Amino acid sequence: MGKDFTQQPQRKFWISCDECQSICNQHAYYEGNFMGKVKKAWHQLFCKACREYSSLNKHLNAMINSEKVHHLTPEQKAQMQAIFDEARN
Amino acid sequence: MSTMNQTLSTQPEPALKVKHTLNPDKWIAKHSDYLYNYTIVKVNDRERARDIIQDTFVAALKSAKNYKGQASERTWLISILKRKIIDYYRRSNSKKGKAEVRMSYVNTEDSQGDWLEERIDDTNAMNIEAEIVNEELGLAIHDCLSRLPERQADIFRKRTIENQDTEAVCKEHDITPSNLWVILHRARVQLMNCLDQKWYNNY
Repeated sequence: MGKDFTQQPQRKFWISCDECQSICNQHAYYEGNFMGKVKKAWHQLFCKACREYSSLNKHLNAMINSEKVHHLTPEQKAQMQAIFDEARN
Repeated sequence: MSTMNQTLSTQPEPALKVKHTLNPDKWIAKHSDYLYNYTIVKVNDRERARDIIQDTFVAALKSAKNYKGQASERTWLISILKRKIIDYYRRSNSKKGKAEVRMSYVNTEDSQGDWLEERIDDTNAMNIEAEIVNEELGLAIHDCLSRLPERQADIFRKRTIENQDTEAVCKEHDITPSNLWVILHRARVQLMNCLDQKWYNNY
């Protein structure tokens, strides 16, 4: 996917697409550092594939965290499991 | 010989029948979120939805001996859930008699003639279709999640949906943080592809 910019010497800000996507994922979980963000932004200036990945990643996050998507909490599941186990025995 | 080959090739191939099996140990882990989304769309009450799912699992357990293995476990659970939802509405209607429609319209002379237009002018009506589509998003996401490898789905669910710390997830699954990011990356890519097929192609 895209070019491997790290092969070019003397370029500390250049990162590979894999690295960029990894940073992108970390930012989706509010992890990663400022430097990573700069490198990602710089890489995405020149890499269309990573720009698309980043936008899809953001979209996926928004979908998962949408209030229309419901999840049971681990406690609710545990409670459900306990009642279910009781019914089984 | 050639005609015989032709007749052979035109004969319909017997459909491959996959025999499904039940695994009640994993019902709650595998299907509860999907059933929860399904029920909330129909019932619109979180607590009631949880009760209905609970009843569904217990009912499924009781009728497990009748399971023939023709449908998948989830399809079979959904069919039981549908009956439970119908039962819920039947029960709630029998308690109240019929659904009550309260008309709190103040009948004054000034407002005479306006009431019908006010009742018809429902600003939310335009968004109903969008609302239904949004409600089905949860089902699509949970369906795609269940297509991931079990371990990958579990890690993704814990880190993304339950918002557990990276460290805690790594400890629980005995993996390094870099392993975790690789697993999450793979899960996200697969989810994106799955949603692309299941969601965006349909809507």
